[in-house]
Amino acid sequence: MAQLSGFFDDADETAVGAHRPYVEPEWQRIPHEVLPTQLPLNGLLAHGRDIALVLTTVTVYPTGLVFSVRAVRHPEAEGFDHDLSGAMHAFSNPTSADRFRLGIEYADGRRATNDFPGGASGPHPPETVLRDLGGGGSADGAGATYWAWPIPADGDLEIVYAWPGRDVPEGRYTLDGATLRAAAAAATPVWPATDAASS
Amino acid sequence: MTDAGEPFFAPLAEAPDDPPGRRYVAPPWMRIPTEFVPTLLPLVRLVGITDDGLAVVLSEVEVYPTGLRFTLRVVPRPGDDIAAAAVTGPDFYAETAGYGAPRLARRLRVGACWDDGRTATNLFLHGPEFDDEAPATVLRVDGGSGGGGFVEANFWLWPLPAAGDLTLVVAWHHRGLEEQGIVLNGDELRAAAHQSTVAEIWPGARHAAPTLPSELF
Repeated sequence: MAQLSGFFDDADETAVGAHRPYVEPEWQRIPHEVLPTQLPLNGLLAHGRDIALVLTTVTVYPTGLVFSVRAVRHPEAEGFDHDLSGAMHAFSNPTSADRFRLGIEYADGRRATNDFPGGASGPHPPETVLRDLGGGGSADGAGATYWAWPIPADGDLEIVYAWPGRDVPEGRYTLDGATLRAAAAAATPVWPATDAASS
Repeated sequence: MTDAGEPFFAPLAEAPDDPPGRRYVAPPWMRIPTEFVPTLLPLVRLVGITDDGLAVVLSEVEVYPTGLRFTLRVVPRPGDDIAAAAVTGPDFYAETAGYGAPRLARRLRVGACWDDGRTATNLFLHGPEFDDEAPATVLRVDGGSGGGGFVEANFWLWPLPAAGDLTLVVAWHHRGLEEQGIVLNGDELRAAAHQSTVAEIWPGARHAAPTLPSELF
């Protein structure tokens, strides 16, 4: 048997192999290397049966935006709603009639929906992306966070929502395009230019 | 199948038994009152950068009538594979959003101080004590998430200051980030809380009384 004692003594514990971290393409990726601009647009979208939909934390990056939708249970609803959190996402129940439906529409007619929760589908690069980033829940309700790409070059961006299984009819919320573009331009780098390692 | 040939698991019922009809409502000092639309304070800012290339960012501040929820996000330096590797895995989550003794010395330290001298920190082992009486302050972890090159932790801070400002304090000593203070303007906090108070989602609804810890344990 070969003498293996001391085999690792000279190993560089900080060495990084050739397997570098995967970096998602621009249309899928939140650019965390910039400080985004937040828009104080938190507000009630709609009331349904025992739930209300609330828009929160609209956060604008140079390439796209992140926003959250919360389903808040009526205070008098009892017990625990076992189905609520799962019904917000299409990951596990894509064809359920109870599922929350969400979409985005650009002024030029491009659309994306949460029917494809992983984000881009079809051609690459896609025309638009609406990606379900996950969420959470409690006895009081559930929430989901989304990535929408790109920032509209012209016109507004509409968020379209419906939840037939919870008696929320189709509705729209308009994000002002000029406000989005100004917010995207105002995002600043987290890292000083001289401090970032070579990419 | 067991040796006797009987299935180990009983057949599933049509639906699991619901817990008792009463809905659990945490005491006001522990509970985020989601029946109000929170007011977003657009305070995104860089808190500091560690010696090993991790940026700590205050990424969300939401104000409710009773307290505030904020998020700290940790982002590795772009192109730095060592920093990128640091933010993966459960050990790192324990450092940023976890409880428990093993990581206490390595913890991303988070605290707050009120102008009247009250303080709160996340340097506890098991989270805030459950007691029927309201403590002076509460700072508790409200979950977190990560993946794709970041980790973030959410915190619930209670109460809002009746007067004066509120200062968040962040340090990560073992990674070389010394104490950083972020002053949240008290007048802005109180105005945001008022805005949330009038943004009640179900006005007129009857609210269940909180379940006190002594009823649970």
